[in-house]
Amino acid sequence: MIGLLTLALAAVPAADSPTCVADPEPPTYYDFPLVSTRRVPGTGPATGVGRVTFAASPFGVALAADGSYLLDVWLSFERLRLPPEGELVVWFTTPALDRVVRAGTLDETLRFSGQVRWNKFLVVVTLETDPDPSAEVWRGPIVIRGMSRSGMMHTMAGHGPFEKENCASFGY
Amino acid sequence: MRALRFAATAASALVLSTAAVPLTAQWSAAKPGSDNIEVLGHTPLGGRLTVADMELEQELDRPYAYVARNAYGGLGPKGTDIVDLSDPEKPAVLYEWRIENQDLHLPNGGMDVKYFKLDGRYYVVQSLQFGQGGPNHDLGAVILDVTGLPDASTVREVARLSEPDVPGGFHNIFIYKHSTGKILLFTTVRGPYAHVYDMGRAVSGDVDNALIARVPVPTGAEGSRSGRGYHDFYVGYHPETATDRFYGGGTGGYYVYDITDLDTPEILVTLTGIDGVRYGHTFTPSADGRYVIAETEYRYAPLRIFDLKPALDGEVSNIDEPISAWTADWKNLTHNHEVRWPYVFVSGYLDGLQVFSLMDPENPVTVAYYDTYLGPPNTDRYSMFNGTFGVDVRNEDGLIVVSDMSTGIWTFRMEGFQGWNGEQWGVPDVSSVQKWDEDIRRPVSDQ
Repeated sequence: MIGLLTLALAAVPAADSPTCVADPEPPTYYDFPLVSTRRVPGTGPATGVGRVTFAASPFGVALAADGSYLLDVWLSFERLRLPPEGELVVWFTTPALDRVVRAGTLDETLRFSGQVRWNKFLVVVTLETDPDPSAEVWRGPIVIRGMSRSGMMHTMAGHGPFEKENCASFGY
Repeated sequence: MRALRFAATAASALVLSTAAVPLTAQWSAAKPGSDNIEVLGHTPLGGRLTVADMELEQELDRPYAYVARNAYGGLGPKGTDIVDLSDPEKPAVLYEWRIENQDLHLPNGGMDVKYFKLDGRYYVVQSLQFGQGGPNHDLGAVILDVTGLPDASTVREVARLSEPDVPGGFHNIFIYKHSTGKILLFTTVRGPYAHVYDMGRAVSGDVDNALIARVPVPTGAEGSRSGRGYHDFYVGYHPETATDRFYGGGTGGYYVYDITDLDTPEILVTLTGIDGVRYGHTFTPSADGRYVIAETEYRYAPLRIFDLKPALDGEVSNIDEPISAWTADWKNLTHNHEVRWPYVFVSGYLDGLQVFSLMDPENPVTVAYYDTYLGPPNTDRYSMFNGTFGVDVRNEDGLIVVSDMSTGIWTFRMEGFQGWNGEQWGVPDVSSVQKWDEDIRRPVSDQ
């Protein structure tokens, strides 16, 4: 079997190998809002959007070494005033906050691009006055937060199947 | 058809009380309260729709109120405010407990809050509900040791109660000193039962074994909401029968259980098939356990008053008709209540603090009121959900405290009400207030 596969691969010129390229304009339902926590002066009116698509891969769906999805993420903001001191640092974290990755910093045009390897994840932008690229978790205040679209999918445990209420808006 | 039935029910319930209750509100911006209510103090706590339920400590030398904070309007803190009432005219926030990374926790946050005393220490239980998609969706409550108040630096977190199998947190909680001497926490969960936790185990570090019992919703009950079997409950001792009784509102209506033996809760009375009630809410008995005040959570719904005697006497097993009803304003909705017989203290959402008397249970009479919220109904959430959310009464001196979803914490005195002891009214001295330092109750004949 391995021999046949080797033969087949050898028969395809490397230059002609198909590479799946992500749609440069992913569907808008891949987008998710980025909202201000209104805790840092100058950032209250800020709005933003996160865009997600699969990272380029010859196999259609890109996977990280551990088998999780590898996603390209673009963040952009409007009406976000850069603080006079410190940097706006982008973090990705799982919804349970049990894993956190420092992804980078916003550039001067208030944009960020990077990769994340979780299906469901949160985007956290913090103001770090003493930026440490090796930091494992934020220390500064949270300026912006966002949740990937897939984060809205969740277990129905303890949740009636025909409930009309949004789970995140419990009534009294 | 169901809608017609609801309408007919609301109408009939209101007719029951028409003679006793004004049909429209009497309070206004210029005169928000009745003459027999004195506003002692008021402290705003933050933005609109950020305040939920509250609890008042009962000992005069511990003048503290605990106020749940949430983000019902989308923005807001998520935790508990500890308020110093040593000067009731100037409620002052002593301490703010907040969930870590509260900006990443999805609403709502803090909902109900209770306190208890165990082995000489004082604790607060803050119920929590966080939406899925963020952290701690399965976290139901946090327990704080508040023994060292007013020194806020001594407040410390001692335990968290999480339920991964029934995620969604605890919407409501009730604390009760059982006749076995155990301090029990009853919680709503998203399942067809209420959970019962032993607080002794929880605060001693044995959180994994703190869940010791469940009180079920009777089989066959219909009409759930958000998957919760119960929405609310009260637990009280019944001296006449020397039993511990659970009064729960939720799926299909209301239920009374004998929970003296926590391993085998015994259903005593069901209240189902009530016109206009698919899902019960707050459900509180009179001190002697004969009458119950039952809330349903929709606009136009009055508080219904039921007489349990036919069921407690064994004549019937189910009760489906109220003997009377009370509403502050038929256009609105009333919420939680505290019974200090014959008075019922109500947090009436848009109608503020309301007090009515059940001296004649078939003819409830409004005796006092003060509207703490003069704003409009909601337009972004359910229209009735704003204004007074929680109410509590200090039995020792009659201090009345309410929490308002948008205007904060208020303290009141009601003329002629300087405290409450049931025996002064010819009923057992039983209310939501627990007697932490008293021995286990015994039947009168044994004393």
